[in-house]
Amino acid sequence: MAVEPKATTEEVKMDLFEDDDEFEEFEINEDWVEKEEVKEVGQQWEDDWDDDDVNDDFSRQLRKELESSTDNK
Amino acid sequence: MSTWQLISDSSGDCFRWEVAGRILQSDSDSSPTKTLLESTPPLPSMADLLRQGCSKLVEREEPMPGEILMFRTGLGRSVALKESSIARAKSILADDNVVYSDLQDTGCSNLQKRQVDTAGNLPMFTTALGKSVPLKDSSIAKAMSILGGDLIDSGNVLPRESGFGDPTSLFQTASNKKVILSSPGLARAKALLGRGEDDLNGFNHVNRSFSSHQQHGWSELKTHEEFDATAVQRHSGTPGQYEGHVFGKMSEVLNPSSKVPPTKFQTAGGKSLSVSVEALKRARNLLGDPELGNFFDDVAVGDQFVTPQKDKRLGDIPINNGSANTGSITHEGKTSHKHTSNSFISPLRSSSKKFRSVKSKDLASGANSIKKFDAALDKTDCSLNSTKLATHGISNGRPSASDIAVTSSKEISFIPRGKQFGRPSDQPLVDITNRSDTAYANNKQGSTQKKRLGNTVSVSPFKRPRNSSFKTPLKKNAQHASSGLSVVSCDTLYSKKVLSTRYPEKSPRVYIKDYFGMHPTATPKMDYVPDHVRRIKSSNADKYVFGDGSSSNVVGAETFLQMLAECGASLQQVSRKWVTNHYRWIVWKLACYETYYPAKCRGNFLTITNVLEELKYRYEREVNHGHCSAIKRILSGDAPASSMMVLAVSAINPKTDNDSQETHGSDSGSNMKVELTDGWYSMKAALDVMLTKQLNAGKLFVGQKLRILGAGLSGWANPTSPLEAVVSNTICLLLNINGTYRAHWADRLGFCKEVGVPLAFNCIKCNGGPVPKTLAGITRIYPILYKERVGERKSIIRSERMESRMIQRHNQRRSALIEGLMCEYQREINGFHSQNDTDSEEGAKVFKLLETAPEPELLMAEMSLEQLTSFATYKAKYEAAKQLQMEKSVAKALEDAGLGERDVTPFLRVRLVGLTSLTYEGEHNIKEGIVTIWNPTERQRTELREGKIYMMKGLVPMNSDSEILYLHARGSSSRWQPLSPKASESFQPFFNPRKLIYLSNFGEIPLSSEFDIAAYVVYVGDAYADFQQKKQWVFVTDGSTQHSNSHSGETTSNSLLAISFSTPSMDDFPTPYISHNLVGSVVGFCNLLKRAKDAKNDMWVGEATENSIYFINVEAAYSSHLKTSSAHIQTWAKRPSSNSVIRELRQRVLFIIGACQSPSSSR
Repeated sequence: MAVEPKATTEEVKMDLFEDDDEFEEFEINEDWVEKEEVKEVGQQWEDDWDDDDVNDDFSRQLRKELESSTDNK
Repeated sequence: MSTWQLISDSSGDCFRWEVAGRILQSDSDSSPTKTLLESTPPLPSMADLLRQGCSKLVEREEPMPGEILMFRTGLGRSVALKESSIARAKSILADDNVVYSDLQDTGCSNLQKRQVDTAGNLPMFTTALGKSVPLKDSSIAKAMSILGGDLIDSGNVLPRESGFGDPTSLFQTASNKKVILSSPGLARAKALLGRGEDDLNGFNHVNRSFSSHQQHGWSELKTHEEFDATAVQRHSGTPGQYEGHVFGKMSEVLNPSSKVPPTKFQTAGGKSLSVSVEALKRARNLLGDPELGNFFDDVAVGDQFVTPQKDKRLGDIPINNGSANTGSITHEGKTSHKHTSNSFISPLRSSSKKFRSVKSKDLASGANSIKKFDAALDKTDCSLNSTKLATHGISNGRPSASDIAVTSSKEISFIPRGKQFGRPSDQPLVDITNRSDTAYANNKQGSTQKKRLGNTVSVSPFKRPRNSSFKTPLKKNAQHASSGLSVVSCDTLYSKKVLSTRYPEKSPRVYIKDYFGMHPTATPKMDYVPDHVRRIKSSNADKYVFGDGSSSNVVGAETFLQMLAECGASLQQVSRKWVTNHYRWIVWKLACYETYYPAKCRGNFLTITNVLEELKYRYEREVNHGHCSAIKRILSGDAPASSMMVLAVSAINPKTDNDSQETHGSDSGSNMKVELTDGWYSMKAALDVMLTKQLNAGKLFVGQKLRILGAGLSGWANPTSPLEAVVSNTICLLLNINGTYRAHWADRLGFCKEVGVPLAFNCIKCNGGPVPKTLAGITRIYPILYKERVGERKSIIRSERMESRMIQRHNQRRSALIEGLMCEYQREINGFHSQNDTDSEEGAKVFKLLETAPEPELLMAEMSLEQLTSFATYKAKYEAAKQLQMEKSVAKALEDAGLGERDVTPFLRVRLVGLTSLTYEGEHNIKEGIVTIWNPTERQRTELREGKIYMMKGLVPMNSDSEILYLHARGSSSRWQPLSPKASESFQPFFNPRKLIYLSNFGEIPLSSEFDIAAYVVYVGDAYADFQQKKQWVFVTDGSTQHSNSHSGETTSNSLLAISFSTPSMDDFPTPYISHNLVGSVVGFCNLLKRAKDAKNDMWVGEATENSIYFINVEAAYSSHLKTSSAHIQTWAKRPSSNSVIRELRQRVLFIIGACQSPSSSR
């Protein structure tokens, strides 16, 4: 773990880590994308929805938790 | 009465009055003239007079002695000056000194006194339009009583005509229209327009010394020095206060260059505009009926439109409504199509409030609409205390919106009218000239605006905000967070106040993934999390309140809005909706952290401080930096929805106000909707059938992040605020499974800067919609084919060879038909012109004459020019008509004969195979596909190579049950990018190159597989009809079996390959598919399919399909692998020993096709 959070009330959460919603502002330029693609190494997205084990199990866990929290209500 | 003379003074520059005869009775002094002459100082010189305001009185250069004194007006008109006039002037000047001085100071500068009582009439003033206006004492008195009783802004109130009887006063409008004003009317006008004291009622905080020159009414119109009687501009200052700018004004009057044309108002386009009383009345009615407890009461009576001057003088008080009004309306009208009237700033309010979400019908509703605005304003903003902030913020001694507004008021580019009168002013003048300035648009926006607005925002003259800088609404500083798009340009109203120092990031922080380290697989202490936190969902997070349990002390979204405002956030930029929305997503996120990382969070995340900090951060980015999250950019039209982005599912089948019925329908198998969020905003997304299936299978759930490529956008037409879009059910993303992938739990939300990874070919679902990007290897490229559409639903596919033959035949048949038609036409030509000579009889006659004449040249030489001309005209017409008719008849004949234009589309088939990464250890699941590229580009035809890996865009799978995936693409819209050799190395080999097949090892290749072979043509059978096809058999051998057969003694065993060619029977091609001339040649065949062996005849069987092709010359690139074999076979065929074998094989073939004939009988 990179940083051990000091869970003190004074600490602002935003200072602890960079959130996934802190988006980066950039231009979406298709030409640029085209150029980049030429340089791209061979990778492909092999996520098949039919496979259960493709995704990390976070999703399953989250799903389980959501279901349990719904049941608790 | 005494006579007066104008005498040049010593300098010669000035003139002064001298009494030349009888003494003018003075009001105050009734002493004899001489006494007066002696005792009184010299009468004022002309300069003095002018200075006093008797403008444009110019003495004739040399007054003739004995003549009546003549004055010359500013227009060069002579004005006779009689004693009586002088007396009258005197009486006026003396009696009503104050009034006169007022007039001098202001309005009189425009009046040209042409004649003063020349014939014992009333003094006449000439208006700027040249209209004479008699000026009676009573008129003056009346004017005084009406206008001058208190602080008259005589600079704008022009007593044009007065004194025509008591009941009415004639005013003349700028358009020369007379307006009769009754005394009650005037009284009413006065009441309506307000008195000087009233002016200050609404603005008791306004520095009174600056309250003069308040420009009433239509401050947007540039007024020159002449005003319509109703376009009252008042000076509420006293005459004494007014003296300050008299000189400035005088200089303007005396300077011919500053003479103003008789224009009433000049529009921004430089157009003169007269505004009548009625028009103004209508305008007033539109804005709110003043008679009905009107909106004027809200502020100062008569101060309906706060002038820039006032803004300036208000010092720190932000009441630049006039500018805000102008700017906002124009801005809205141009930039937000959908929310045209959503932002309307009351011109009346002394605060910088804005109205939002006011429907346009309210604007058009006429009376009391302003009242409605006020009501809306109160409703919207009252609880937010914005009025307090705006108007009394300073007194609070803390930074507030008002401070911000004050600063920005300096930036407003209104030009104070005072400057026109020579008054010093710090503010620029109101520029109402129609300058075609390019509206401000920052560079960044420029590239993104092309779809909607373009870089240059052209605003119609009356809509253009004056000098206030105009910015496009979508990005940067013009980004208005409160309602997305429908807010006025912000920096005219406020200056940026940094709310959060967390952006830009000063020191790098760890990313969420590293902070939490792992996904929350182990959350053993869920009990730590209070129930109220665990119950927080995206749908109810906005209603969450922090509190100590008591209902009186709770902190919710509303409180955060106030907190933000107290921190300095502009309430014009952030609305309650804005805060509620972001509060919702922040609370949901923090609650999720608390729930799934309880050990780390320990209740310290979901706190007021954290929420406020995040809100401030978002304000900073969105308002101050103009940044937009992915959803906001998509909805504003700034980014295509097809861009790759990561969004999280925040709700399944979100309920909206108007789709309650639709959600019930989703259970019956129709496609489901989900709500997706980028963490800042959310929008609906419709799932395709396959995704709906995944949703039902539980693979798509709340919290799941999705990487989305190539999404569509439905129901979107204009830039829309995400705050508006979320409540509607019309706008939604269209997701299909081929462009929607499950993302990592820590993937950053929003647009992906990195290049999208292509979907593995194996993962493409045939009914999963377009494939944004995929990667596959080309195993085979089939020859180009041509599909000709014949009739409604029928089509014929031809090879290139057949197509070229078809073209040839088609052209031959066309030529033959046209030739025949032409011959026929030539024969009919005589009858043609006889019917068309009506319009040019002479020309026709000449034409006929020349046509029948034995020596037309001689005839022509004798003709007149007219005859020749008419002949030439007629001939040209005749030729043109002939040509036209011929073309028509040819076209019709061709059509009738079925030889019209052919509808042929070329296409290319490419066989693909999915790739497997070298590192992949799972089961190999090779998936093959065939792509049909319609109208392939030249590059695609020539540059695609078998055995190479390509990244492809724009492929659309076709729904089929086949194991092979069929896709299609358009040549122009699909992209085929070859992968670099290095990148290609990361995949397992996929390619089986074409290789030569010999008949000797023909048994090794599996059935139905494709093969290429070079062979000697033994026999070409005749074409015959078989069901709906024409078939033709070709029998070949390659000599490869001769050696083995020689050992076994069976010379012809397995030596024959029968190839079946077939064409649709509807293709009435007369010549056979394979020419008999090929017999004895070595031909290369490619892409044949192996069929079951004809065991009875001990013969191999192959089938030629659409994709098959044969080459007589195997040197061609496509068949180069057959080159060696072809050469060997040719050598073999030439051997004498081969002749007998070939002959024997031919006999066998003849026996086979003859069915009944034995090989012996056929000999």
